[in-house]
Amino acid sequence: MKVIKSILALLVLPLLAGVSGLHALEHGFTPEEELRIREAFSKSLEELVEMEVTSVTGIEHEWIETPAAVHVITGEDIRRSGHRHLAEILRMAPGMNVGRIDSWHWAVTARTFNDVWVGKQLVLVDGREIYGQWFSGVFWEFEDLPIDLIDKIEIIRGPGATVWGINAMNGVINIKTKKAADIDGTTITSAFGTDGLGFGEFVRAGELDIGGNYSIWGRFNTVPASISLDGSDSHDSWNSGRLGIRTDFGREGRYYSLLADYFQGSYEAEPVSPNLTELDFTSPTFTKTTVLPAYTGNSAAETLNLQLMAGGLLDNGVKWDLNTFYFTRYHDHLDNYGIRLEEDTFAIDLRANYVEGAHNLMFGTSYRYQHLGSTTRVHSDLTFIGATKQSNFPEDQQLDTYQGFLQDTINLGNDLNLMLGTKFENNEYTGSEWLPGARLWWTGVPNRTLWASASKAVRMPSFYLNSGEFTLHYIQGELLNPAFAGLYLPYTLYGNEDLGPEVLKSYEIGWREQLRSDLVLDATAFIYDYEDLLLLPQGDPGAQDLDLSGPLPTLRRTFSNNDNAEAYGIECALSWQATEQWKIDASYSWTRFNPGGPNGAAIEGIDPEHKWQVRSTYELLENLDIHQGLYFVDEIPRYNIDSYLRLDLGMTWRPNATTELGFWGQNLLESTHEEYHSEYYKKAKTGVGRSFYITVRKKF
Amino acid sequence: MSVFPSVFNRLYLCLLGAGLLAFGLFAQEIKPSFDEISRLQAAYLRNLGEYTRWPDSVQFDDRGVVIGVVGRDSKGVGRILDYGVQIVDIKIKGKVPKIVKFPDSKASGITECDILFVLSSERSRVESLLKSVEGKPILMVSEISGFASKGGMVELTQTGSSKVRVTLILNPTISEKTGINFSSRLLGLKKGVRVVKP
Repeated sequence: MKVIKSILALLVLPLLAGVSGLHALEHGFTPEEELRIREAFSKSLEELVEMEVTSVTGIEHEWIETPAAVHVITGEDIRRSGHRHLAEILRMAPGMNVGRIDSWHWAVTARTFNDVWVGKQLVLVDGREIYGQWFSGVFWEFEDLPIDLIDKIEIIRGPGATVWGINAMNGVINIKTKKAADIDGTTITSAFGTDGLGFGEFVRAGELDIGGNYSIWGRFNTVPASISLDGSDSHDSWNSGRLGIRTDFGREGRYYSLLADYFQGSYEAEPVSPNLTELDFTSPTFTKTTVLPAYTGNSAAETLNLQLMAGGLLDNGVKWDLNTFYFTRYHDHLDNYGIRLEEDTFAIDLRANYVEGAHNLMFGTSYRYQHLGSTTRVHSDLTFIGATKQSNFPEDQQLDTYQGFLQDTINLGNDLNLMLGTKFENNEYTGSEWLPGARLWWTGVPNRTLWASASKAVRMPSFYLNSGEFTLHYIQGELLNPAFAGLYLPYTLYGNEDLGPEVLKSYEIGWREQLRSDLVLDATAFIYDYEDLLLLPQGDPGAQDLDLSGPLPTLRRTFSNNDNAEAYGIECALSWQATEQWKIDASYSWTRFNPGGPNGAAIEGIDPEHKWQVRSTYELLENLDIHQGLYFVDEIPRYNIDSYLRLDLGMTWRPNATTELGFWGQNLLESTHEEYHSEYYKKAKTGVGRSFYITVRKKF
Repeated sequence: MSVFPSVFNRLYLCLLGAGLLAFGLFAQEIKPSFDEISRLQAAYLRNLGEYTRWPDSVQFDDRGVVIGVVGRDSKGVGRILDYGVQIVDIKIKGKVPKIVKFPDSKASGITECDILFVLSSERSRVESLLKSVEGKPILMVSEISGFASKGGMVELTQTGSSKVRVTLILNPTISEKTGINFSSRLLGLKKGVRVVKP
């Protein structure tokens, strides 16, 4: 079956390419187009502003000519999808792996290496990194932006390190919120559904008396627990709230935006209190039977972001943009390890752009200061085995990061363009890194872009990999050596300050074309070479891990940079306005991943090989739309997760110009299915269940 | 576990890539697409010409309004305007307008136009283009997002995704500096117009 799928994949692109060859070169307009042009020229101003036309996905021409694997999800795409969380929305992008682990954990990445803490996927909101240095990844449960605040999400598959720097390895997700002037009045949305699902959000904007515009927003979420596959309550419901304000000023070609955003969330966790009678020490392999429960109490988090964005044009023609922010958060997310984590980040980023002749020069510099603090709590549940702490982190760590980049886009003539650039970054963990990249693209045929790229990206170790200390298991000592009878030996993962960065060398080619006025194709093929992967030694802990240097014997392991891997694949997407009322988006992606080092078993089979999706919106009546999303995700062998087909259906009805009612059903084909699993959380597997909900959206 | 590095895998991808490039390069050129939004933009340009007053130094007694279309015009705004002039016989200020196409914003002759429509391909050069026409009585219009707040006079903005409306953002503060005034009919539109405050 897989061979057939691969052959089909090989055939897809040439077949699609042939479509463009079916159209002979013609000049002039069809009789129907002529009529439409005449109609437009006969309209008055008052009539023109009322005219609605059909556009292919609202695609900007700029996107057609972008020489990278970029997919854009607009605010309207989101409203039609029925997805109501940022991580869920990313399912719509071709080549993205999105797996819901439980109610408040997602694994999200482009192409490969998916995990709850991906480490190789940079995510930004309005230019601010939300990638967390603690464990290399995004805490998606903190990122529940109001849907009506999102302007668009640009998903760049492939490295973006030349501009965005370290950790922009598998891809960059760039979430852009609306400027205050682009928000129309006040919009309130509320939703309620099965199992207590519900949210409410508002977005309001207006003009300030002193000039400029303001917007305020809020969102409140309550999400039910996921379904444990053994039928038990998985205890992972959560609720959160967010409030924000933004002001935008523009004067004489300059703009200034000030933004403040506050978030608070609380997350239920398994109320398990272990004792010796609940633990099973009979396993000769000392492994997961002795694992302590992953959760021992509820978690909570707060974040605050204060941000200033500004830009303008200097007299010498240099365009500049400044982005600076202060971000602070704490969370007890890993309460099971007895840690409260705190972070303060201040960053300033200055970018400039200058066009001279055939050169379009982009350059910039940035500085980031991070303070990471932790409070390691005494873990009362561990006192029964003579230990008091299950984890240990430095109480205080301060990180300075300096960056600079230079990129030149050169028009070589004959519709050929070359982009060359490099970024330099100096960080506390791996020192100095150079991140070069090159892109070549050709736009010789209108609405067609052919491109190729080669680039290098790196990921630096997280705070946890550099300095952390986690005890995962307690093993009955006598099973290891009779001399240790009566002792419980901690099996502990230690950070390693000598770790170097992971390195990716990436090669991509792509073809994007508006084949007809109603049909757009986007196709990409890529090869990734990963080097120096950060992995743990594989196999069960045993005598080889014994560390007798401390007061108590310990089983000790550290991460190393000893592994390589390769990944390659194709991604293909079509957007088709089939009729004036019916729009269809479809995509297929195929990824093959080959680990190549001594610890490769840890990462084999962690991603689905095949994925496809078909989404459509049909305007049944002028005020009634039908929405459908069908997603196929292949099996994930590593976690014994079967392939699944997910069907979402929705209907939106506008009884009047200011009110919209939505009726949504998600995961309709199965009562529950499993999407992803994480080894960081040693809890029972959970599934994503069938759900129904209703939305009411009102504009004032 | 697969053999690594796999020569076959590399060959497979190279073959696929070569096929992709070959088809992309040699597929016949398709008909320039007809774009519904461009149709509206062209109609707007005609109306904007009608409902704009130029300073006295600019007279249209013996010539038509010159509309320049700047940038890569793959959606065919210029072609639609040409069609309007040649077949539909549109007029601005009582005269047949003249349509001129410029491949980019560095092309010569740009400052000879009365209306300049700046296409999205000029996004990175828009600030320097605005600088180069500063003070000149040229009605600067663009589809580029943020054009009006960057110092442009009229931004044709899109609302909606699949069902799209094209509406106007006007910046009279900038236009008045050059002696260009929008008519009260344009400024007084009850829908589809937003005015940038000084």
